[in-house]
Amino acid sequence: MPPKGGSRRTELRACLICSILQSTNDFMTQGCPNCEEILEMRGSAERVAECTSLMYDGMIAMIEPSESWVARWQRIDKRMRGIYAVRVTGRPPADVVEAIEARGGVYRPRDAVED
Amino acid sequence: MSDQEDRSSPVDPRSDDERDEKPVTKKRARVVDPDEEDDVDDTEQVTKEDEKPDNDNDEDEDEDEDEDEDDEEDADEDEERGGERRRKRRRKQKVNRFLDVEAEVDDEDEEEDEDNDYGDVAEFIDEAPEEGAAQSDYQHRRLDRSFGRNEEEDVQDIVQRLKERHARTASARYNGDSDMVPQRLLMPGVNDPSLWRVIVKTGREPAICASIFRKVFSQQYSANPIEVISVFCRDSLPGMIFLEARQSAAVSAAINGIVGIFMSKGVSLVPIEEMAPLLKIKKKDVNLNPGMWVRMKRGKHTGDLAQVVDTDQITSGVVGIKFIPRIDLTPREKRRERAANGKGLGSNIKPPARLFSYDDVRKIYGRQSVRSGAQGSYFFENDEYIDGFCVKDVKIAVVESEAVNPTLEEISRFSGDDQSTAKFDLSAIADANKNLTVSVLFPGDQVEVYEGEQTGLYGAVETVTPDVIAIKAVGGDVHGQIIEVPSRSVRKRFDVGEHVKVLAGKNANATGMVVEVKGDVVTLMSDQGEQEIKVFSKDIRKAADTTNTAKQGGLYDIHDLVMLDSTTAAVVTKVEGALLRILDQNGASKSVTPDQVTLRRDNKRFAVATDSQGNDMKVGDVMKENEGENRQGEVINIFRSLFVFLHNREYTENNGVFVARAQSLISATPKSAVSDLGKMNPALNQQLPLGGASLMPPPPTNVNRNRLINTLVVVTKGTSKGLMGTIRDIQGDNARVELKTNNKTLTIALTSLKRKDQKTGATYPLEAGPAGGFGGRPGAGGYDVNPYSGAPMAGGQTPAGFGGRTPGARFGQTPNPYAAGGIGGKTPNPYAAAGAGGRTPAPGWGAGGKTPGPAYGNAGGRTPGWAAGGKTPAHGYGDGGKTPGWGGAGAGGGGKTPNPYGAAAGPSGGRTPAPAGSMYGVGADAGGSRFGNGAMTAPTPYGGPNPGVHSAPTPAAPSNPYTAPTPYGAPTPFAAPTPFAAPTPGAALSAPTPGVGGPTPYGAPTPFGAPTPYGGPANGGAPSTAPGGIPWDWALDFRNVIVEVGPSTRPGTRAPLHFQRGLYDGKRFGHDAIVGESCRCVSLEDASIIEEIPAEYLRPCYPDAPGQVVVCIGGGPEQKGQQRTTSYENGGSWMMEMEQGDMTALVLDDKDLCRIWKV
Repeated sequence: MPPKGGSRRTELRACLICSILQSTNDFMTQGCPNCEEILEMRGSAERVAECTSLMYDGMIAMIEPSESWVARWQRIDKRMRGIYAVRVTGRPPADVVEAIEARGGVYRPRDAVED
Repeated sequence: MSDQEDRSSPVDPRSDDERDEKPVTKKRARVVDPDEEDDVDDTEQVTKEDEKPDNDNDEDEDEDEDEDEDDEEDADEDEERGGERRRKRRRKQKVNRFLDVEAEVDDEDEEEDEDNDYGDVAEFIDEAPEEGAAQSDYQHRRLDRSFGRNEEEDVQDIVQRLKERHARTASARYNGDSDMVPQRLLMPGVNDPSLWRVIVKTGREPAICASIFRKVFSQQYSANPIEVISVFCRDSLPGMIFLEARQSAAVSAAINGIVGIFMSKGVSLVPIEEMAPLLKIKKKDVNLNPGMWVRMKRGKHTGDLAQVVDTDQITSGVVGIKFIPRIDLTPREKRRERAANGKGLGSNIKPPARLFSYDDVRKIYGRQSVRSGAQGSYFFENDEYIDGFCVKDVKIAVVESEAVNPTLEEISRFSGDDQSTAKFDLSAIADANKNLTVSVLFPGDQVEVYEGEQTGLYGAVETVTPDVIAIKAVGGDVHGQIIEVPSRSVRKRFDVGEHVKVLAGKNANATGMVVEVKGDVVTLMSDQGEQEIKVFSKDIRKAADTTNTAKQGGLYDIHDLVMLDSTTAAVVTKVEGALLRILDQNGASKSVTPDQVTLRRDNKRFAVATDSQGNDMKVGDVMKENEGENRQGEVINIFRSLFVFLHNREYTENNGVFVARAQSLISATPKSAVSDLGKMNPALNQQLPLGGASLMPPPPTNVNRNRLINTLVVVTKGTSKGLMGTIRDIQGDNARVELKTNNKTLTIALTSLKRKDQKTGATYPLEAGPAGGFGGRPGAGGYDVNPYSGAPMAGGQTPAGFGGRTPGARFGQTPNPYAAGGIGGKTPNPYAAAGAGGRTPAPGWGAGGKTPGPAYGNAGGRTPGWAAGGKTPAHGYGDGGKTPGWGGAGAGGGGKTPNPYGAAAGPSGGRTPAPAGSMYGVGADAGGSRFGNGAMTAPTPYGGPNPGVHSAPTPAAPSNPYTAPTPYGAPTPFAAPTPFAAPTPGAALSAPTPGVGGPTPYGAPTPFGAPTPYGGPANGGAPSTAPGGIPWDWALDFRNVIVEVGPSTRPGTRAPLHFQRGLYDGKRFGHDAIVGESCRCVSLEDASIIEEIPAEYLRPCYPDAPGQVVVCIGGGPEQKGQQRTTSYENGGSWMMEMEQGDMTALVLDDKDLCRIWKV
């Protein structure tokens, strides 16, 4: 996956599920590289606006997710390499959370502090 | 599954789609469905085969790839990387292709395994016949079967299966092992890569992260890949980025050459325990919820309150708010006018905020400018107005959500009711307070849960954390339990009747009683202005009592004296905000505003009043009412010496302040009471016979002890012995002495103090002066021909104190009415002035023409003249009071006529006594005449001795009067002295050689002259009392007495302690004559031994048996010099035989008596 972003961060949006950072255009055309299965954002600007957020904090350039403690901590160790946010503000639509839970997953808000 | 991921991420940089469609590596063996696998493989194989001819052509990349490339080419910086990628991909493609071929083979191999693994049931069924069959046959059959199965499954199925597989893959992403693990188990361990902190240019952190990412990415397949695992930065940690790597070399390689990194600042390893916090940091999140209050940060509405109405687009950074618009409703003409005046339309005039009104706007802007929307909304200048509010989507950045602190007024405008503060949208207010609640909660506060599961729960706060508070529930099922609730669903609870204090807002610091609680709004009745105040419950606290809200530095302070009008004074009892609570002089308490009163800037310190006993009182004294409620308090103010304001914090009324009339107060603490004036009235005493004089005891010695204040003293006993200090206060028998050494103030008994002369450093007994001066002390001055006899000593010792006192005391004792004058103003006697002036006797007496003769006054004035002396006493007498006569006397004393007075005085002395005595005896009329008499009769003896004394050089002179006259003829001195005493001072005072006078007890003048003359250092060795109160030079006053030789009693003497080394110690001598300061003494044992023994070695020989003739050498003036016969001894006191004129038996201390030698 080509690394993106860095030029002007205001252009980037963060996925509310995996916190990956991409431009709106990337989300529109390719969807989320990790969560497209669930979010199905490709081609839908509305869905992109729903499932991604402009409000995020910090930036992680994840090169080797499998080896990285940072990735493990951020729970992105099984995700694609790429650029992620540390925190993302916002909640995905209810159907997304349901979809995740239907697949036996756990939805963890990206803006909450775990302990 | 994880295998798949692993494979894809490090090795294969392709997108998902790509990967899914691309042939797979052999590891894919675990994929579930072999048929499907085959399927895919087949397809792909076909593709590959198609591809083969145009192997080198990139354009066969899939669509996504193309798009990617397009994107990449857009950005310059991406170009190189793009190219790189393409090359890589090409290379990979080949590899893949190669692998694909292999994979085909592999797949076949795997199929075998899979078959063993799989089709269990089928194979079980087939297996029985197979056992007998050949192995090759099995192979064929298996092939057939698989082909057959393929045919069976329709395409739909395959698609479905594909989907399912992908779905599983997708869901697995959220079902990974670590997702279930609590984050605390994810803490970094020793096997995890390390974090390295790199300092970078602030603001460039994300860009630098991305740069490093690209750099690492681009080099990952180079010969030297950079082994950096991740890079991150935090918004809350500006100026630094963190690299995750196993070795610092990788970090160095990664950051090398990146612009914006401060290599010089070094790369530091983040301790393992600090790693997690770096990612835990939570940016203060802007938590916008509908109903929340925010403030506008920009535009003409800057600072205006707005309410969040819509947060649907919060992730897009947009929030919907409503606020009261500020539409310029200036009429068009006016605006034109204004524009014409140069004030442009876009001037900074901020239109007032008011609700949108269609009619108003239409009037100004025209009908076409306002468009009607749905549900009664209006559109005006691209903004939507609903119910008068402007509803607008704004960027989050333009609203401030922190520290909004909406006021009740602002909120009330939102609730649509401008005027009344009674109607509140309670929920709105609650929302407004949400963010603030926690900060104002303290453990112990009573709270109420008003939302959520625990709604209605009451309790006291136990602990407070930012989001959760623990409360101890009160009442209900959970009574006593500690329950955690979200802090924002809690509000403070107050009961009606509680006394509270306002913590914040415009009513801050006000206190009051809660009269109503409505949700979050508490109405309280202010203690101060007695008005209703509405406050948020968050802004108040329970207050234990009414706090004094006085602002320090205000114009009026508590206990200030203020004037209500020109005649009415009051004291501020309380300052309540803008109100003063006062208590006026009539005892009425009221509230006034500061402009109703004027401050009376009296200097409290000078305000005095006289209490019911005639004592004065000052601010700070503790006084008690002697009537009514007998209240006691400290004087805080005195108004016109009539009204005394007192304060006692034990009284609640008027904050402990009360007012009383000065005349109804007495001192609560015993005060140095000025004795009854009546006792000082000489007239009363005059009427008493001689002995009656004793009825008027000398004023208590503590009278005016305050005179000792500021006296330099030295401590002679105790722990502070030897230290110098200044008396600051007298308390009973103790003095508060401020030590010079360390500025401490100690309480030291007066008896342990000695007066210290500042200049000479000589010490004197503190009270010796008075003792001698008063002469009333047993063993002190004693009865003498001259009542002033004692004075010299006193004078010598306490020059300052003396002037006023000594004479006073003396006069007080003597019947002389003028004596009172000496007391210095305490009696109404006009001579008081003179007495006071006693220090400057000349004018005093001069003015006091009432003194026996003006001559004395003159004498005073002229006294200096007598230095010339030389005149004969006769002349002096002839002159009848011309001081010169004295002067002469003095001179005579001086030695020119060794004993002129002896003669003169003697006879007169002898004569005078009788009349004078009789005069006293009958208590004859007032002083004037007595003075006259005295003056007439007595002058001589006195004239003689006094000057003589003064000019003392030749001691013979003073001794003369004694030798000559009736030596101890008691009455004589008695009668005579007084009148003379008076005049003398004049002379003495002006006397140029005052010091000299000191030693002689005759220094009648001394008392008056005392202050100055004796104060002089010349007097350093001034007489002091011998033990028992007898002066050391007593012997010079007497003759023909039996003396005993002993150690010197003269203080500070330079003479040896013992006369002739104690040769005669204990021996008794007869006092024959006075030679200078010595006495010619004849030994009683051997009349041939005649010694001149300095007076200091001589002690009186006390009587030891009844019937001995003694002379009184000490005691009061009324006794001193009397010759008596001892009658009866009791405990050191002798009762004397009655003599004519005695009213009662005279009892004298034996220490005051000396046996007479030759009877």
